[in-house]
Amino acid sequence: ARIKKIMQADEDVGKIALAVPVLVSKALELFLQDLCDRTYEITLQRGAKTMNSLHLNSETIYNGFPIIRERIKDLQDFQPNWLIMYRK
Amino acid sequence: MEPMDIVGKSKEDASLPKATMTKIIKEMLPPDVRVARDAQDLLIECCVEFINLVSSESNEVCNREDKRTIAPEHVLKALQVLGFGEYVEEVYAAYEQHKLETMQDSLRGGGKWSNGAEMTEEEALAEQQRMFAEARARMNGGAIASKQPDADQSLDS
Repeated sequence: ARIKKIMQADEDVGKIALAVPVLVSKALELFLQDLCDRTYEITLQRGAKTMNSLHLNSETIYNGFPIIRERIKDLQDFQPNWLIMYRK
Repeated sequence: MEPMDIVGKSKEDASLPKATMTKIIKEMLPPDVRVARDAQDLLIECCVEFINLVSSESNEVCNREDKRTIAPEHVLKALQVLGFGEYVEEVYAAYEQHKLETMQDSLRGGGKWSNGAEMTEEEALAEQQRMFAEARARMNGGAIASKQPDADQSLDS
């Protein structure tokens, strides 16, 4: 239901077959697993024990998911002020 | 208010449940790894963006095929177009599994909804309304029929 709600938040999206959220849910699970694995690799490379958004924002992630590169960059607004200052 | 506090809040407030997502993220990582709150929030945002991306592309595919309803095939094609082709096989397997489960459920329930998996919400609603109308007609018909003998008796007397 939540996935369907997110999908239909886009005004262009019309009717959705009942099975569609099931497919999107599975694709999302695979995407998140992929994203977590890649981010974890970077966390290990940096010798850290805690995964943070710097690891998630690294170029390796962008290269792995070129299609969402700009979208992830747009999400900088959601980061705490200290992190934005640190990155500058 | 810190920018972090507004994660997942859009105009429609359409976001993924934070607690559930956090649990899933932790299950996907080794137990010794801690995840900072900012990373969790960003991961959840990425997931919402992924859904938006897939639905947007599925809608494009759907429009190109002159269809009105986004179907599973459109989602599979969209994943391919977006460069997530390696997901297609597993996603399709999940779809087949879902179809199988839906079919089994419908057989257990009397087989009336054997094609329920392919119904859109609107179609299901229309079907429901039709069934309500049928039931109402039957009920009204039954009420008239039960009243009829009484009327005959009064005529006889």
